[in-house]
Amino acid sequence: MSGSAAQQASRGSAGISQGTTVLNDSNGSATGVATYTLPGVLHFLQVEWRKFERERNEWEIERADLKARIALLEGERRGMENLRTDLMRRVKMLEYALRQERNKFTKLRQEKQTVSPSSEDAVAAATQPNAVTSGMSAPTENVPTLPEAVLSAPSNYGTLNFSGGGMGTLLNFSKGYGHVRSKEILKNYLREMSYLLTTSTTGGNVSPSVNPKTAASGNEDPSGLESTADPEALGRVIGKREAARARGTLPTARQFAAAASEESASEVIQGEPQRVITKIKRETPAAAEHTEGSKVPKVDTSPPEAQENAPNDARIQSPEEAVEGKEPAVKSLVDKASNQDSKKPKDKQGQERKESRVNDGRLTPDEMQELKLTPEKVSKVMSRLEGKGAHAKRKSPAEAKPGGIPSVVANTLSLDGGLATLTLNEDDVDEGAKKKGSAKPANQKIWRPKAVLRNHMDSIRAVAFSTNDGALVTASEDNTAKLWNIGKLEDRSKMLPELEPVYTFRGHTEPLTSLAVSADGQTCYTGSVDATIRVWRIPPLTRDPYASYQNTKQFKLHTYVGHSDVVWDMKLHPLQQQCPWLASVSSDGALKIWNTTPGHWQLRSTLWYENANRGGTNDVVKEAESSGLQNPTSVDWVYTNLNRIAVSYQNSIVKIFDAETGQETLQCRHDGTFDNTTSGQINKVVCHPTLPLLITAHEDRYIRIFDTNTGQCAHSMVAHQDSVSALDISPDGLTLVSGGHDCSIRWWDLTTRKCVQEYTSHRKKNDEGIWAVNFHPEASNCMASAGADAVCKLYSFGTA
Amino acid sequence: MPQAQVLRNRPGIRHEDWSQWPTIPLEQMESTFSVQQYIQNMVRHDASDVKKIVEVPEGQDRDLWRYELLRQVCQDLNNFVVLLEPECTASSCPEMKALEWLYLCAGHPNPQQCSALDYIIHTLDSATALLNSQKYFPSRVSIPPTSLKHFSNVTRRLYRIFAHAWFHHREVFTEFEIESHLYARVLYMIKYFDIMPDDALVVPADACMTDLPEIDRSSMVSDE
Repeated sequence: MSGSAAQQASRGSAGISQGTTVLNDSNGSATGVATYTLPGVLHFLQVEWRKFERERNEWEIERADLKARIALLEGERRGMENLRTDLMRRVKMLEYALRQERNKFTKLRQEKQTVSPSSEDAVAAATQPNAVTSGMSAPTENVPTLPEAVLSAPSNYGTLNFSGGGMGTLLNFSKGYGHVRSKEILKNYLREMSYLLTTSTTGGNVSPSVNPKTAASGNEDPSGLESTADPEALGRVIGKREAARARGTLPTARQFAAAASEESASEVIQGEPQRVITKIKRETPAAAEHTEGSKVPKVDTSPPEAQENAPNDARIQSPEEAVEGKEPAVKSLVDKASNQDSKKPKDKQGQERKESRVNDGRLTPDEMQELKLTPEKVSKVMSRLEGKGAHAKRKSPAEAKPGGIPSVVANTLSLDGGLATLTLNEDDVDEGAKKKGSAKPANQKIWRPKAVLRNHMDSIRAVAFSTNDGALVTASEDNTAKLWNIGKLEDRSKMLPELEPVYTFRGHTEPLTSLAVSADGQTCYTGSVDATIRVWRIPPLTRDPYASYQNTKQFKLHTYVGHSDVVWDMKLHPLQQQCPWLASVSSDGALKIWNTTPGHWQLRSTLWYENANRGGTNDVVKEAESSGLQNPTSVDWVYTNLNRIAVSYQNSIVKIFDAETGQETLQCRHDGTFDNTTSGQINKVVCHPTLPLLITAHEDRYIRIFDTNTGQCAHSMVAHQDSVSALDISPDGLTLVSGGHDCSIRWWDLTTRKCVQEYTSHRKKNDEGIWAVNFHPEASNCMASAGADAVCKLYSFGTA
Repeated sequence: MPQAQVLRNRPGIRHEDWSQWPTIPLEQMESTFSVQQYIQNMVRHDASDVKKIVEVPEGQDRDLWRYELLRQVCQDLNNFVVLLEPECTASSCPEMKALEWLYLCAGHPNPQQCSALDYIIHTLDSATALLNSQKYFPSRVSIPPTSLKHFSNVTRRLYRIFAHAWFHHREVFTEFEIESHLYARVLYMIKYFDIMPDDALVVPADACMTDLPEIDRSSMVSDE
C-alpha cells in the first residue's frame, strides 16, 4: 500500500518535470516510464538539484563578473572625465594664448604696416609649437565620442610622443608643462583600475599588478591561481589575465582571443593551447624585432605599433624580478626569473627575449587547462576587455616614465622603466586590496550597521540587550535610561516615523554610567553618578510610548543605596537562580554585592581594594597608598569559577576576589605600564564565557589578555588609536569586540587575536568617542554600540 | 590632574571630578558637538548666569544655538520630572492647569486631556523625540529653515510645565529652581528669542532666583 502510494507520489513529482528522460538516461537501470523506484527518483532529484546548484553558481559568478565590469567601466568613465576636463582646460588656455598672440600680432602689424598678410599665419603658428596645435586637436576630437576615443586617443599620444613635440612631453606628464595634477589624476585612475581588477578575492590580489606581467608574457603567475581553491575567483582571474594578455599583444589580441575562446568552447585539451602558445611565440619575436628597429634614436620613423610593444617588453623582464621578491613560493618561476635576471644585461638582443618568451610559453598549457573551467566566461570577458581595457593598459607605460624619458630610450632601458612601473603598480594594488578588505566583498560575512537609535540627549554610557526578543536598554548621561523595541525595526517600513523608545526610565538625578539586564529580561539595573543603583521592571514592549504615566510606579522596583560615590560598573551573577547577586563597583573604592531577590534587596557584602576590611594589612595599605588610585573601574564575574569576581582598578591591576569569603585570590598585573597616573588605567574588564581568560581594555590603547588561573598576562596588544573604553565577548566565545575613543569598533578573532574587522562609527564629544559595545547575550550575530554622540547603533553579522 | 586637558570622564573618577575641566573658548572646540559642550560647560560653571548661556555668541549660528539650548533644557527637565513625580499625581492634579488655563496634551495624534504629570511626561518625550528626529533635525551642525517653527512650539509647551509647577507645586518648583535656574533660563530664552508675548507669561517674575538681565531689543531681529 504505502509503497505504491510513494510510487504514485514520485511519479507525480517526476512526471511533471521534463527530466523524465534524463532520469532514464542517467539511470540505466530504469526500464520504462512506468517503473519509477524511490531511489531512482531520489537520485534524479539529487541530480537535478545539483544541476540547479551548479547553474546558480554560474549565475552568481556571472553576476559578480558583471558587477566588476560595471565598476570598472564606471571608474574608466570617471578617469576619462577627469582627463577631459583637464584637456579642455588646457585647450582653453592655449586658445587664449593664441588669441593674445594674434592680438599682439595685429597690433604690431598695424604699427608697422609692412607685414604681408601671408605671414600672419606663420607668425601665429610660430607662437605655438606645431605639435601642440596639432596635438590639441586630436584629444579634443576624441573626447566627446568616448568609448572609441578611449581606444584611439592613447595611440595618438603615442605618435605624438615620437614626434618629440610639445604634446608628446605633455602627455608624458613631464615637468615641462607642470601638469602634475593630470599625472595625479592618472595615477589615481590607475590605482582605481588595479583596484577594480582585484575584485576577485584570493588570487586576484596578484593578478592586477600582474597586468603588466600578463600583458606581455602572461604566464608567470599561476602561483596565485593554483593556490586559490575557489573556482569562482579562479575563473575571474583567468578571465582577467586573458584579457590583460589580449591587451598586451595588442594587434594580435583579437586573434588570440578568438583562438582561446574557440578552443575553450570546443574543450580540446592538449593540442589547442599549444597552438596559442606558438602564436604568442610567433607574435612576440615579431614585436621584438620591431622594437629592435625602433631602438634607433630616430624616433619619428618607428611605427606606433613598435612603440606599443616597447613598453610591453619593458614589462616582460621586470615583473619577473618582482615575482622573485614577492612570491617565493613559486620556485620554478623564481628559477626562471633568475635565469632571466642573468640574461638581462644582454637583454638588448631580441634573440634572448625570444627565448624568454618561449620559456614563458611552456607554462601556458596548465593555464589553458584552468581556463577551460569557465570557457564561455573567458571568451566573454576577453571580448569585452579587448576593447575597453586596452586603453587603461596603455596608460601605464606612459606613467612608467615620470622623468620624461622618451619612450624610445625607455625601450633600451626597458628594465629600469619597467621596474618602476611595476613597483608602483604593486603598491597600488596593495592599497586596493586593503581597501577592499574593509569595504568590499558583498558576499563576505561581515558586521554591518542595521539601525540607529536616536532619542538620548547626551552621551550613552551603556547598552544592553535583553534575552527577551527585541528589547534593548540604553543608559545615558542625560539621567535617563530608555527601553527600545528593536523588534519593531524589522517590520517597519521606511515611511514610518523614527523608532521612539517604549519607555524612559526617569529616577536618577545624575548621569547614568552602568546598566545590567537580568537574564530573564524582566528586570534592569542602572547605576549612576548619583551613587545609587535603581532596579526597574522592564515594561512590556507593547506599551504605548504615550500611555499614561499613572501606573509607572510599578516599574520602579527598588533603589540600592549604599555606595557613596559614582557607581561605575555592575554585573549580575550569571546564575541568578542559585546566586541572586549583583556586583557593583564605585569610586568610593568599594565592591558591593547586593541581593537581587525581590523583597530582599539588601547588601550582602562589601569588598575593598585591601580585602574585606577597610584597614587591611599594613603592606597592602602601603602599596595602595603609593598609587592612590585604587578606585575600581569595572567588574565581571569569572565564568569559569563563579565564586570569583574580577575587579579592575585605576592603577591597572585586576584583582580576583572570592565572593563568598571576600578574600583576594589572585592579582593580574602587567608590569611596567603603571606610571602612577590614570593614563594606563583599565576601563573595562570582561571574562571569557568558557575559557579561564579575562580581557582588559586600557586607557593607553592596549587590550590585554590574562589567564585567570595564574594571573599571567597571556597577550598584550595596542588595539586602538585612542583609549579603549569598551569590550565585550560574543556568547560563543569566539569574537571580541572593542570600542575606543578613536570612534572605531574593532572585532577580534579570539583564536588568532587578530583584528578581523574595523568600523568607524559615532562622533566625538569632548574627548569621548564610544562608551559601550555589547553583544546580544544569546545571538552572536547581533551587537550594539553607543557613544558620546548620544546615538546607539545596532549591527548584525551577515552577508547582506 | 596630570591629564587635565583630556576632556573625558574616565571610569573610576570621583563625583567631584566629573566634568571638571576648564571652560574652553568656543572657537577652540573642534568637535561636532561644540555648541552642546559649550552650553553644558556654561551651565555647569554657573547655571544662574542665564545671559551668558542663552545669548548667542558672536559668529554662532542662531538656529543651531536655539536647538542646542532646547536640547539642554529637555535634558535638564528630566530632573524636574523626577522631583515632581511624587507630588504631582493623577489624583492631585487630574488636569493640566496653570492659573485659570487648561492645556491639552499634544503628545497624541489628537490632542487630549491628560493628567498634569502625563502632560509633562508626554510633552517632554515628544519634544525629545522631535529634537532627535532625523526628519526635522537631520544634523547637529545646521538646522533646516523649515524646522525652525518647532522651536517656539516646543518652548511654549515646556514653559507650561513650569507654570503648572509654580501654581500647584510651589515647593518643588523652588527647590528645583534654586539649584538649576532652569526656569530663569527658559524665561530668558523666551524673552531673548521673543517667543511669547509678555502677557502670556503667567508665572510672576519673582519666580526666578536670579536677576534676569534686560533684553536689548534694539540689537535683535525677531525671527518669528
